[in-house]
Amino acid sequence: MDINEKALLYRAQTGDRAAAETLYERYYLDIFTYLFYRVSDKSTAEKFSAEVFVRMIRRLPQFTNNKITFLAWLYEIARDLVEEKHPAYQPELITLDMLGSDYDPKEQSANSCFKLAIRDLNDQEKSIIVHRFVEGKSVKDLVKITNKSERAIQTLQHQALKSLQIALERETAL
Amino acid sequence: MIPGKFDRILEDCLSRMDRGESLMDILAVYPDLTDKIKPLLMVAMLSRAVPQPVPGYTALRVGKNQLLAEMASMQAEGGFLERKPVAPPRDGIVDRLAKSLKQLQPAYRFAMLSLVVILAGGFFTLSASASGLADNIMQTLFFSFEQVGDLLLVKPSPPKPMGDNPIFSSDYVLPDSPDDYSGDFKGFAAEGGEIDHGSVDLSQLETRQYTLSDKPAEEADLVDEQVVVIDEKDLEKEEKEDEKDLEKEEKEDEKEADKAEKEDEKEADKAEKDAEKEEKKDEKDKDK
Repeated sequence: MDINEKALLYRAQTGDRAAAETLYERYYLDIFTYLFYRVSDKSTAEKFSAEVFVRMIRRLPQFTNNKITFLAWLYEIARDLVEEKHPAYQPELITLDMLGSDYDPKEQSANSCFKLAIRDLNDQEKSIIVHRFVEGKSVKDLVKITNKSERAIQTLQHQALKSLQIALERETAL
Repeated sequence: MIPGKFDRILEDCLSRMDRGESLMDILAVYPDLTDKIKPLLMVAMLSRAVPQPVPGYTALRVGKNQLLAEMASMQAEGGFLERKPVAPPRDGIVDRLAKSLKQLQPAYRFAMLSLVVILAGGFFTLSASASGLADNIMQTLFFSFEQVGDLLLVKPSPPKPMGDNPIFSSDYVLPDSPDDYSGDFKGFAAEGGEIDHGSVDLSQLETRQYTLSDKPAEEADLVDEQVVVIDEKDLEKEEKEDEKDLEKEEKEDEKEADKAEKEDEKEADKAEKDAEKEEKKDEKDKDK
Protein backbone atom coordinates (compact mmCIF):
# COMPACT_ATOMS: atom_id res chain seq x y z
CA MET A 1 0.00 0.00 0.00
CA ASP A 2 1.47 3.31 -1.03
CA ILE A 3 1.52 6.49 1.05
CA ASN A 4 -1.24 8.13 -0.98
CA GLU A 5 -3.62 5.23 -0.36
CA LYS A 6 -2.76 5.23 3.32
CA ALA A 7 -3.50 8.94 3.55
CA LEU A 8 -6.69 8.45 1.55
CA LEU A 9 -7.85 5.70 3.89
CA TYR A 10 -7.08 7.83 6.95
CA ARG A 11 -9.08 10.71 5.51
CA ALA A 12 -12.01 8.39 4.75
CA GLN A 13 -11.79 6.95 8.27
CA THR A 14 -12.18 10.46 9.67
CA GLY A 15 -15.29 11.09 7.56
CA ASP A 16 -13.84 12.85 4.51
CA ARG A 17 -16.47 12.56 1.75
CA ALA A 18 -14.04 13.21 -1.11
CA ALA A 19 -11.70 10.46 0.11
CA ALA A 20 -14.59 7.99 0.40
CA GLU A 21 -15.75 8.85 -3.12
CA THR A 22 -12.21 8.32 -4.46
CA LEU A 23 -12.03 4.89 -2.84
CA TYR A 24 -15.41 4.00 -4.31
CA GLU A 25 -14.37 5.02 -7.84
CA ARG A 26 -11.01 3.26 -7.56
CA TYR A 27 -12.29 -0.15 -6.42
CA TYR A 28 -15.88 -0.37 -7.70
CA LEU A 29 -15.03 -2.20 -10.94
CA ASP A 30 -12.92 -4.86 -9.17
CA ILE A 31 -15.70 -5.61 -6.74
CA PHE A 32 -18.40 -5.54 -9.42
CA THR A 33 -16.46 -7.96 -11.68
CA TYR A 34 -15.87 -10.34 -8.82
CA LEU A 35 -19.53 -10.23 -7.80
CA PHE A 36 -20.71 -10.59 -11.39
CA TYR A 37 -18.93 -13.92 -11.78
CA ARG A 38 -20.00 -15.01 -8.32
CA VAL A 39 -23.73 -14.36 -8.78
CA SER A 40 -23.87 -14.51 -12.60
CA ASP A 41 -26.29 -11.59 -12.77
CA LYS A 42 -25.49 -8.01 -13.64
CA SER A 43 -28.22 -6.25 -11.66
CA THR A 44 -27.58 -8.41 -8.59
CA ALA A 45 -23.87 -7.66 -8.90
CA GLU A 46 -24.63 -3.92 -9.04
CA LYS A 47 -26.82 -4.11 -5.96
CA PHE A 48 -24.28 -6.15 -4.10
CA SER A 49 -21.49 -3.79 -5.11
CA ALA A 50 -23.34 -0.83 -3.61
CA GLU A 51 -23.99 -2.85 -0.46
CA VAL A 52 -20.31 -3.79 -0.23
CA PHE A 53 -19.28 -0.12 -0.17
CA VAL A 54 -21.91 0.77 2.40
CA ARG A 55 -20.53 -1.99 4.62
CA MET A 56 -17.05 -0.79 3.83
CA ILE A 57 -17.76 2.71 5.16
CA ARG A 58 -19.40 1.30 8.29
CA ARG A 59 -16.40 -0.88 9.11
CA LEU A 60 -13.74 1.52 7.87
CA PRO A 61 -12.95 3.14 11.26
CA GLN A 62 -11.92 -0.30 12.55
CA PHE A 63 -9.84 -1.20 9.51
CA THR A 64 -6.10 -1.59 9.95
CA ASN A 65 -3.90 -2.50 7.04
CA ASN A 66 -1.47 -4.56 9.10
CA LYS A 67 -2.77 -7.96 8.04
CA ILE A 68 -4.36 -7.56 4.61
CA THR A 69 -4.54 -4.95 1.90
CA PHE A 70 -7.59 -2.75 1.47
CA LEU A 71 -8.64 -4.52 -1.74
CA ALA A 72 -8.35 -7.93 -0.10
CA TRP A 73 -10.47 -6.58 2.74
CA LEU A 74 -13.10 -5.42 0.22
CA TYR A 75 -13.12 -8.88 -1.41
CA GLU A 76 -13.67 -10.38 2.04
CA ILE A 77 -16.69 -8.13 2.55
CA ALA A 78 -18.02 -9.07 -0.91
CA ARG A 79 -17.52 -12.80 -0.27
CA ASP A 80 -19.27 -12.55 3.09
CA LEU A 81 -22.14 -10.67 1.44
CA VAL A 82 -22.59 -13.31 -1.25
CA GLU A 83 -22.52 -16.12 1.29
CA GLU A 84 -24.99 -14.22 3.45
CA LYS A 85 -27.48 -13.30 0.73
CA HIS A 86 -26.99 -16.39 -1.49
CA PRO A 87 -26.47 -19.13 1.10
CA ALA A 88 -28.10 -21.88 -0.90
CA TYR A 89 -26.93 -20.73 -4.27
CA GLN A 90 -26.99 -23.52 -6.81
CA PRO A 91 -26.16 -23.44 -10.49
CA GLU A 92 -29.36 -22.81 -12.39
CA LEU A 93 -30.39 -23.28 -15.95
CA ILE A 94 -28.96 -20.25 -17.72
CA THR A 95 -31.45 -18.14 -19.61
CA LEU A 96 -30.79 -15.39 -22.12
CA ASP A 97 -31.88 -12.80 -19.55
CA MET A 98 -29.20 -14.01 -17.15
CA LEU A 99 -26.51 -13.50 -19.78
CA GLY A 100 -27.39 -9.80 -20.09
CA SER A 101 -29.00 -7.57 -22.66
CA ASP A 102 -25.81 -7.29 -24.78
CA TYR A 103 -25.72 -11.01 -25.39
CA ASP A 104 -25.19 -12.01 -29.05
CA PRO A 105 -25.34 -15.77 -29.64
CA LYS A 106 -23.29 -15.67 -32.83
CA GLU A 107 -20.45 -13.44 -31.75
CA GLN A 108 -20.19 -14.27 -28.09
CA SER A 109 -20.76 -17.99 -27.99
CA ALA A 110 -17.35 -18.48 -26.40
CA ASN A 111 -18.08 -15.83 -23.78
CA SER A 112 -21.43 -17.35 -22.94
CA CYS A 113 -19.83 -20.76 -22.68
CA PHE A 114 -17.29 -19.29 -20.28
CA LYS A 115 -20.03 -17.68 -18.19
CA LEU A 116 -21.85 -20.97 -18.03
CA ALA A 117 -18.77 -22.99 -17.31
CA ILE A 118 -17.47 -20.80 -14.53
CA ARG A 119 -20.65 -21.44 -12.55
CA ASP A 120 -19.53 -25.02 -12.09
CA LEU A 121 -16.35 -24.03 -10.27
CA ASN A 122 -16.08 -23.65 -6.52
CA ASP A 123 -15.60 -20.20 -4.94
CA GLN A 124 -11.82 -20.44 -4.70
CA GLU A 125 -11.45 -21.54 -8.31
CA LYS A 126 -13.85 -18.85 -9.48
CA SER A 127 -11.90 -16.18 -7.64
CA ILE A 128 -8.61 -17.35 -9.12
CA ILE A 129 -9.97 -17.45 -12.67
CA VAL A 130 -11.61 -14.05 -12.35
CA HIS A 131 -8.67 -12.30 -10.70
CA ARG A 132 -5.92 -13.96 -12.70
CA PHE A 133 -7.42 -14.12 -16.20
CA VAL A 134 -10.48 -11.87 -16.41
CA GLU A 135 -9.05 -8.99 -14.39
CA GLY A 136 -5.47 -9.77 -15.49
CA LYS A 137 -3.88 -9.66 -12.04
CA SER A 138 -0.48 -11.25 -11.43
CA VAL A 139 0.34 -14.08 -9.04
CA LYS A 140 1.95 -11.54 -6.67
CA ASP A 141 -1.31 -9.55 -6.61
CA LEU A 142 -3.20 -12.74 -5.81
CA VAL A 143 -0.79 -13.44 -2.95
CA LYS A 144 -1.77 -10.08 -1.44
CA ILE A 145 -5.50 -10.55 -2.06
CA THR A 146 -5.84 -14.13 -0.88
CA ASN A 147 -3.08 -14.12 1.78
CA LYS A 148 -1.71 -17.37 0.34
CA SER A 149 1.78 -18.32 -0.78
CA GLU A 150 2.91 -18.05 -4.37
CA ARG A 151 3.21 -21.82 -4.68
CA ALA A 152 -0.33 -22.28 -3.33
CA ILE A 153 -1.64 -19.78 -5.87
CA GLN A 154 0.14 -21.63 -8.69
CA THR A 155 -1.39 -24.92 -7.59
CA LEU A 156 -4.85 -23.35 -7.28
CA GLN A 157 -4.44 -21.80 -10.71
CA HIS A 158 -3.63 -25.21 -12.18
CA GLN A 159 -6.67 -26.77 -10.53
CA ALA A 160 -8.96 -23.92 -11.59
CA LEU A 161 -7.86 -24.13 -15.22
CA LYS A 162 -8.38 -27.91 -15.19
CA SER A 163 -11.86 -27.55 -13.69
CA LEU A 164 -12.78 -24.87 -16.20
CA GLN A 165 -11.50 -27.02 -19.05
CA ILE A 166 -13.75 -29.87 -17.93
CA ALA A 167 -16.69 -27.48 -17.48
CA LEU A 168 -16.18 -25.97 -20.92
CA GLU A 169 -16.00 -29.40 -22.52
CA ARG A 170 -19.25 -30.23 -20.82
CA GLU A 171 -20.92 -27.01 -21.94
CA THR A 172 -19.79 -27.39 -25.54
CA ALA A 173 -20.93 -31.00 -25.57
CA LEU A 174 -24.45 -29.94 -24.54
CA MET B 1 7.50 -35.29 -12.13
CA ILE B 2 8.22 -33.51 -8.84
CA PRO B 3 4.96 -32.25 -7.29
CA GLY B 4 4.56 -28.55 -7.94
CA LYS B 5 6.98 -28.55 -10.86
CA PHE B 6 4.18 -28.67 -13.40
CA ASP B 7 2.47 -25.73 -11.60
CA ARG B 8 5.65 -23.69 -12.02
CA ILE B 9 5.96 -24.67 -15.68
CA LEU B 10 2.33 -23.67 -16.25
CA GLU B 11 2.94 -20.33 -14.55
CA ASP B 12 6.01 -19.80 -16.76
CA CYS B 13 3.90 -20.49 -19.86
CA LEU B 14 1.19 -18.07 -18.67
CA SER B 15 3.82 -15.38 -18.02
CA ARG B 16 5.19 -15.87 -21.54
CA MET B 17 1.65 -15.53 -22.85
CA ASP B 18 1.31 -12.25 -20.92
CA ARG B 19 4.52 -11.01 -22.56
CA GLY B 20 2.98 -11.64 -26.01
CA GLU B 21 4.62 -14.89 -27.08
CA SER B 22 2.57 -17.08 -29.41
CA LEU B 23 1.14 -20.44 -28.32
CA MET B 24 3.46 -22.33 -30.70
CA ASP B 25 6.54 -20.65 -29.32
CA ILE B 26 5.51 -21.39 -25.77
CA LEU B 27 4.81 -25.04 -26.52
CA ALA B 28 8.14 -25.35 -28.29
CA VAL B 29 9.90 -24.60 -25.00
CA TYR B 30 8.30 -27.66 -23.34
CA PRO B 31 7.82 -30.20 -26.19
CA ASP B 32 7.39 -33.16 -23.81
CA LEU B 33 4.53 -31.47 -21.98
CA THR B 34 2.66 -30.14 -25.01
CA ASP B 35 -0.30 -32.50 -24.57
CA LYS B 36 -0.79 -31.46 -20.97
CA ILE B 37 -0.09 -27.75 -21.29
CA LYS B 38 -1.93 -26.94 -24.53
CA PRO B 39 -5.57 -27.42 -23.30
CA LEU B 40 -4.87 -25.41 -20.14
CA LEU B 41 -3.33 -22.58 -22.11
CA MET B 42 -6.32 -22.60 -24.46
CA VAL B 43 -8.66 -22.23 -21.48
CA ALA B 44 -6.51 -19.40 -20.10
CA MET B 45 -6.61 -17.63 -23.49
CA LEU B 46 -10.40 -17.98 -23.61
CA SER B 47 -10.68 -16.57 -20.09
CA ARG B 48 -8.53 -13.61 -21.02
CA ALA B 49 -10.56 -12.95 -24.14
CA VAL B 50 -13.73 -12.62 -22.11
CA PRO B 51 -14.67 -8.93 -21.92
CA GLN B 52 -14.98 -7.50 -18.45
CA PRO B 53 -18.57 -6.81 -17.41
CA VAL B 54 -19.41 -3.11 -17.39
CA PRO B 55 -21.65 -1.77 -14.64
CA GLY B 56 -24.45 0.59 -15.57
CA TYR B 57 -23.93 4.32 -15.00
CA THR B 58 -27.14 4.58 -12.96
CA ALA B 59 -26.08 1.77 -10.69
CA LEU B 60 -22.74 3.49 -10.19
CA ARG B 61 -24.43 6.78 -9.16
CA VAL B 62 -26.94 5.00 -6.95
CA GLY B 63 -24.15 3.12 -5.21
CA LYS B 64 -22.20 6.35 -4.59
CA ASN B 65 -25.29 8.10 -3.22
CA GLN B 66 -25.93 5.21 -0.86
CA LEU B 67 -22.32 5.46 0.33
CA LEU B 68 -22.58 9.22 0.97
CA ALA B 69 -25.93 8.82 2.74
CA GLU B 70 -24.40 6.22 5.01
CA MET B 71 -21.48 8.57 5.69
CA ALA B 72 -23.88 11.36 6.65
CA SER B 73 -25.72 9.14 9.11
CA MET B 74 -22.42 7.95 10.57
CA GLN B 75 -21.20 11.52 10.98
CA ALA B 76 -24.40 12.37 12.83
CA GLU B 77 -23.76 9.45 15.16
CA GLY B 78 -20.06 10.32 15.49
CA GLY B 79 -19.00 6.99 14.06
CA PHE B 80 -15.82 8.20 12.36
CA LEU B 81 -12.40 8.58 13.85
CA GLU B 82 -11.44 11.94 15.28
CA ARG B 83 -8.81 13.62 13.18
CA LYS B 84 -5.57 13.97 15.12
CA PRO B 85 -4.25 17.50 15.41
CA VAL B 86 -1.32 18.11 13.16
CA ALA B 87 1.90 18.22 15.13
CA PRO B 88 3.71 21.55 14.84
CA PRO B 89 6.88 21.44 12.78
CA ARG B 90 9.93 20.48 14.81
CA ASP B 91 12.42 23.18 15.71
CA GLY B 92 15.69 23.34 13.89
CA ILE B 93 18.94 22.30 15.54
CA VAL B 94 19.86 25.90 16.36
CA ASP B 95 16.54 26.53 18.11
CA ARG B 96 16.84 23.33 20.09
CA LEU B 97 20.38 24.23 21.14
CA ALA B 98 19.25 27.69 22.19
CA LYS B 99 16.40 26.21 24.24
CA SER B 100 18.68 23.71 25.95
CA LEU B 101 21.17 26.51 26.69
CA LYS B 102 18.42 28.58 28.29
CA GLN B 103 17.55 25.68 30.57
CA LEU B 104 21.15 25.41 31.83
CA GLN B 105 22.50 27.27 34.86
CA PRO B 106 24.48 30.44 34.07
CA ALA B 107 27.88 28.87 34.87
CA TYR B 108 27.26 25.90 32.62
CA ARG B 109 25.86 28.20 29.97
CA PHE B 110 29.02 30.31 30.03
CA ALA B 111 31.18 27.18 29.89
CA MET B 112 29.23 25.86 26.92
CA LEU B 113 29.45 29.16 25.07
CA SER B 114 33.20 29.36 25.76
CA LEU B 115 33.65 25.86 24.48
CA VAL B 116 31.74 26.69 21.32
CA VAL B 117 33.82 29.85 20.79
CA ILE B 118 37.08 27.93 21.31
CA LEU B 119 36.02 25.17 18.97
CA ALA B 120 34.87 27.64 16.32
CA GLY B 121 38.11 29.60 16.63
CA GLY B 122 40.17 26.44 16.39
CA PHE B 123 38.25 25.31 13.38
CA PHE B 124 38.69 28.72 11.74
CA THR B 125 42.42 28.74 12.41
CA LEU B 126 42.87 25.20 11.16
CA SER B 127 40.86 25.82 8.03
CA ALA B 128 42.72 29.06 7.36
CA SER B 129 46.10 27.42 7.79
CA ALA B 130 45.08 24.47 5.66
CA SER B 131 43.61 26.61 2.93
CA GLY B 132 46.95 27.64 1.45
CA LEU B 133 50.20 29.51 1.81
CA ALA B 134 50.65 32.58 3.95
CA ASP B 135 49.42 35.41 1.84
CA ASN B 136 48.68 39.02 2.69
CA ILE B 137 45.43 38.22 4.50
CA MET B 138 47.13 35.68 6.72
CA GLN B 139 50.01 38.01 7.48
CA THR B 140 47.60 40.79 8.36
CA LEU B 141 45.71 38.40 10.59
CA PHE B 142 48.92 37.26 12.23
CA PHE B 143 50.06 40.82 12.74
CA SER B 144 46.75 41.82 14.30
CA PHE B 145 46.98 38.82 16.67
CA GLU B 146 50.45 40.00 17.70
CA GLN B 147 49.18 43.48 18.30
CA VAL B 148 46.33 42.21 20.44
CA GLY B 149 48.81 40.08 22.39
CA ASP B 150 51.09 43.08 22.93
CA LEU B 151 48.17 45.19 24.08
CA LEU B 152 47.16 42.54 26.59
CA LEU B 153 50.66 41.82 27.91
CA VAL B 154 52.60 45.14 27.74
CA LYS B 155 51.34 48.21 29.58
CA PRO B 156 52.47 51.32 27.80
CA SER B 157 54.13 53.80 30.25
CA PRO B 158 53.27 57.51 29.94
CA PRO B 159 55.75 59.32 27.72
CA LYS B 160 58.37 61.40 29.46
CA PRO B 161 58.54 65.15 28.84
CA MET B 162 60.91 66.14 26.11
CA GLY B 163 63.25 67.96 28.43
CA ASP B 164 63.93 64.89 30.57
CA ASN B 165 64.55 62.62 27.66
CA PRO B 166 68.30 62.40 26.98
CA ILE B 167 67.66 61.84 23.29
CA PHE B 168 66.56 65.42 22.86
CA SER B 169 69.49 66.93 24.77
CA SER B 170 72.04 68.68 22.59
CA ASP B 171 74.94 66.82 24.24
CA TYR B 172 73.59 63.40 23.42
CA VAL B 173 75.68 61.48 20.93
CA LEU B 174 74.13 58.56 19.11
CA PRO B 175 76.04 55.37 19.91
CA ASP B 176 76.11 54.05 16.36
CA SER B 177 75.92 57.09 14.17
CA PRO B 178 76.26 56.45 10.45
CA ASP B 179 79.46 58.56 10.37
CA ASP B 180 81.21 56.25 12.79
CA TYR B 181 79.87 53.13 11.18
CA SER B 182 82.63 51.11 9.63
CA GLY B 183 80.81 47.78 8.93
CA ASP B 184 80.18 46.23 5.60
CA PHE B 185 76.36 46.01 5.53
CA LYS B 186 75.38 45.66 1.90
CA GLY B 187 71.91 47.13 2.14
CA PHE B 188 73.12 50.73 2.72
CA ALA B 189 73.68 53.14 -0.10
CA ALA B 190 77.13 53.08 -1.57
CA GLU B 191 79.17 56.22 -2.03
CA GLY B 192 78.18 56.49 -5.68
CA GLY B 193 74.47 56.76 -4.74
CA GLU B 194 73.49 53.33 -6.00
CA ILE B 195 71.93 50.72 -3.69
CA ASP B 196 73.56 47.36 -3.47
CA HIS B 197 70.63 44.97 -2.82
CA GLY B 198 72.89 42.01 -2.11
CA SER B 199 71.20 39.41 0.03
CA VAL B 200 68.32 41.60 1.23
CA ASP B 201 64.90 40.17 0.35
CA LEU B 202 63.01 43.11 -1.10
CA SER B 203 59.70 41.29 -1.22
CA GLN B 204 59.72 40.95 2.57
CA LEU B 205 60.44 44.61 2.99
CA GLU B 206 57.61 45.54 0.66
CA THR B 207 55.14 43.23 2.44
CA ARG B 208 56.06 44.69 5.79
CA GLN B 209 55.53 48.17 4.45
CA TYR B 210 52.11 47.16 3.06
CA THR B 211 50.85 45.69 6.34
CA LEU B 212 51.95 48.72 8.30
CA SER B 213 50.23 51.10 5.92
CA ASP B 214 47.00 49.04 6.23
CA LYS B 215 46.80 49.51 9.98
CA PRO B 216 44.49 52.11 11.46
CA ALA B 217 46.07 55.31 12.77
CA GLU B 218 45.28 54.57 16.44
CA GLU B 219 46.96 51.18 16.29
CA ALA B 220 49.99 52.67 14.60
CA ASP B 221 50.34 55.24 17.41
CA LEU B 222 50.10 52.51 20.01
CA VAL B 223 52.86 50.58 18.33
CA ASP B 224 55.08 53.68 18.22
CA GLU B 225 54.48 54.27 21.93
CA GLN B 226 55.58 50.74 22.73
CA VAL B 227 58.69 51.22 20.66
CA VAL B 228 59.50 54.43 22.63
CA VAL B 229 59.10 52.65 25.95
CA ILE B 230 61.45 49.93 24.90
CA ASP B 231 64.00 52.50 23.60
CA GLU B 232 64.00 54.49 26.89
CA LYS B 233 64.98 51.44 28.87
CA ASP B 234 67.67 50.57 26.43
CA LEU B 235 68.85 54.13 26.29
CA GLU B 236 69.31 54.35 30.06
CA LYS B 237 71.52 51.30 29.94
CA GLU B 238 73.33 52.60 26.96
CA GLU B 239 73.84 56.00 28.62
CA LYS B 240 75.47 54.40 31.62
CA GLU B 241 77.65 52.29 29.40
CA ASP B 242 78.56 55.31 27.33
CA GLU B 243 79.45 57.34 30.41
CA LYS B 244 81.71 54.55 31.55
CA ASP B 245 83.24 54.33 28.11
CA LEU B 246 83.76 58.09 28.01
CA GLU B 247 85.44 58.05 31.44
CA LYS B 248 87.68 55.25 30.28
CA GLU B 249 88.51 57.10 27.12
CA GLU B 250 89.25 60.29 29.01
CA LYS B 251 91.55 58.43 31.39
CA GLU B 252 93.26 56.78 28.53
CA ASP B 253 93.58 60.08 26.74
CA GLU B 254 95.06 61.67 29.87
CA LYS B 255 97.50 58.82 30.22
CA GLU B 256 98.48 59.13 26.60
CA ALA B 257 98.87 62.88 26.93
CA ASP B 258 101.06 62.39 30.02
CA LYS B 259 103.13 59.87 28.16
CA ALA B 260 103.43 62.19 25.19
CA GLU B 261 104.46 65.09 27.42
CA LYS B 262 107.03 62.92 29.13
CA GLU B 263 108.37 61.75 25.84
CA ASP B 264 108.44 65.33 24.57
CA GLU B 265 110.30 66.40 27.67
CA LYS B 266 112.76 63.54 27.22
CA GLU B 267 113.25 64.44 23.59
CA ALA B 268 113.73 68.10 24.53
CA ASP B 269 116.28 67.10 27.16
CA LYS B 270 118.05 64.94 24.65
CA ALA B 271 118.05 67.73 22.11
CA GLU B 272 119.46 70.21 24.68
CA LYS B 273 122.14 67.72 25.65
CA ASP B 274 122.98 67.13 22.03
CA ALA B 275 123.15 70.86 21.41
CA GLU B 276 125.47 71.35 24.42
CA LYS B 277 127.67 68.50 23.17
CA GLU B 278 127.90 70.09 19.72
CA GLU B 279 128.71 73.51 21.23
CA LYS B 280 131.44 71.88 23.30
CA LYS B 281 132.77 70.13 20.19
CA ASP B 282 132.75 73.42 18.26
CA GLU B 283 134.60 75.22 21.07
CA LYS B 284 137.19 72.45 21.17
CA ASP B 285 137.64 72.68 17.42
CA LYS B 286 138.08 76.44 17.63
CA ASP B 287 140.64 76.02 20.41
CA LYS B 288 142.57 73.56 18.30
